[in-house]
Amino acid sequence: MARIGIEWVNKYHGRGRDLNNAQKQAERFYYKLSGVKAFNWGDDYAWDIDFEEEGVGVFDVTSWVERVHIVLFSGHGCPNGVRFGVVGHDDGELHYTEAKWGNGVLNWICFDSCRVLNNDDSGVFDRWRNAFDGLHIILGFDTAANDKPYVGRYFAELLNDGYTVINAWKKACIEGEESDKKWAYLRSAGGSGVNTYYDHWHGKGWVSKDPTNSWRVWTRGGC
Amino acid sequence: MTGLFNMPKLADVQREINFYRTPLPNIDSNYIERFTKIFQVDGKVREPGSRIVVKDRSGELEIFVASGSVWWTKRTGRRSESRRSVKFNSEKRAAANADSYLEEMELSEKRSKPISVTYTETVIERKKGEKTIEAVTHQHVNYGFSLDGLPVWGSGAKIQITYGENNQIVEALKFWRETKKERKKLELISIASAIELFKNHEYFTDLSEQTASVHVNEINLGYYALPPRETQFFLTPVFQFIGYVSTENYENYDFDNYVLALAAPADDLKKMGVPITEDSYVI
Repeated sequence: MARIGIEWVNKYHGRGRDLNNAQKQAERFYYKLSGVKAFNWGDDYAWDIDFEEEGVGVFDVTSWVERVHIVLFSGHGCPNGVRFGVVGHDDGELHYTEAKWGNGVLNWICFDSCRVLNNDDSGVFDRWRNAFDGLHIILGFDTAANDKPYVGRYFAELLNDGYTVINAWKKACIEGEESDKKWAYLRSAGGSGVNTYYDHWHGKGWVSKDPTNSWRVWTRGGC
Repeated sequence: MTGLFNMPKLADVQREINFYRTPLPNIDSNYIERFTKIFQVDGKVREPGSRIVVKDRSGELEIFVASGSVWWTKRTGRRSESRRSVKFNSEKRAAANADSYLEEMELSEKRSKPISVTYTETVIERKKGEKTIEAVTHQHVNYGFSLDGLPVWGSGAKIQITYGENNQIVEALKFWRETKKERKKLELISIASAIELFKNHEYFTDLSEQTASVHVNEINLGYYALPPRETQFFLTPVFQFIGYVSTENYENYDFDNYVLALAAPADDLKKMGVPITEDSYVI
């Protein structure tokens, strides 16, 4: 059975404005999606190294995110990455240069954060290309995302109902966000038996083999 | 904490607002049949939780049980993104066509009007450094709602008509709750009180006025509509705060937050049959 992990940050200790709904957003996804609940790290227990290639070796197996098939992070973000509330374990930032995902079991990573997949400068491929090391899709927002507790639960319900990962994310965002926001995804492709566009949640439909990352597709649309 | 905040200068606004209940809809077989006929979807009716879903080879219809909202999607069977840009109609024509379509489908709503046109765009990188393939694949006409000249915010108050290949409509959604206007009006707090509630929220308690600033550009009065999957007993009057926060570490983080604008305490609202839940407003 597939495994699920979440990290969320409401408390930024003055580094940024606190959030109200990151925990609800992430936990409603976590408890609603069918699968094994593997980790739930929040506030001061959510660390950037849990996501980072540099984190490999810190723990006995590999970084936390590589232990699960899907991870959702809810907290502050920007085109360069996402932000954590504590700096004691590294610098409190997951920067795209520190990301290399998919060499464990991780298939999908979802950032309920502002602008992680923004491409206004046409730089989204340069930033995130090297993060794909077997990873299928990064899901997120092109624009700001609202601090609301809905999209995570809707995403989980739609995955459970058999929608593709991409369609579930798109539909959840349209349902939970206003029309001035834009959902986005970046997916990796290439290789025999690979079609990450048609990925479903494990046990709910077809799941692609890990892509070779020889080419990539970025899409955004209005909520 | 006053040094932390930069607020616009505002005159006080109205102290009463119309009271719109949103009675739970009766989603019976007639309601479902009405929309399956309109969208010509004829399939088995499923009820996975908070939605009713009817699907056939041509399309999928979703009806949200808590609000009566509807969402129709044409099924394309696509297994990948389209790589071809569509030559869409002008935005003005797209909006006019969307108006006609809503009329024809009995979905038009005099309290809504087009507020924006957005697009779905795909970019494909075949090889690092090579020219990318770029395609604009869908055009969306977005409608917003207003009541008595006041905006209704939230994803529970929107209509979206989507055009795909050959300018065909491939998706239509109407997120809205039927409203019942009460004779009684609701008393509002003053803007000064709303500002105090905003400033005292725990959002800002850890920010230092030496290193951080909160800039509020606009404060507006309106209603808030929860997403269509959520139960809501009335359109919630709120003050909207739009602005940005800057700290030493993070510059210019935009926000739009809402402060409950009602003067009545939560107990009284529950007695009136319009309970405020924690999720009813943010902040």
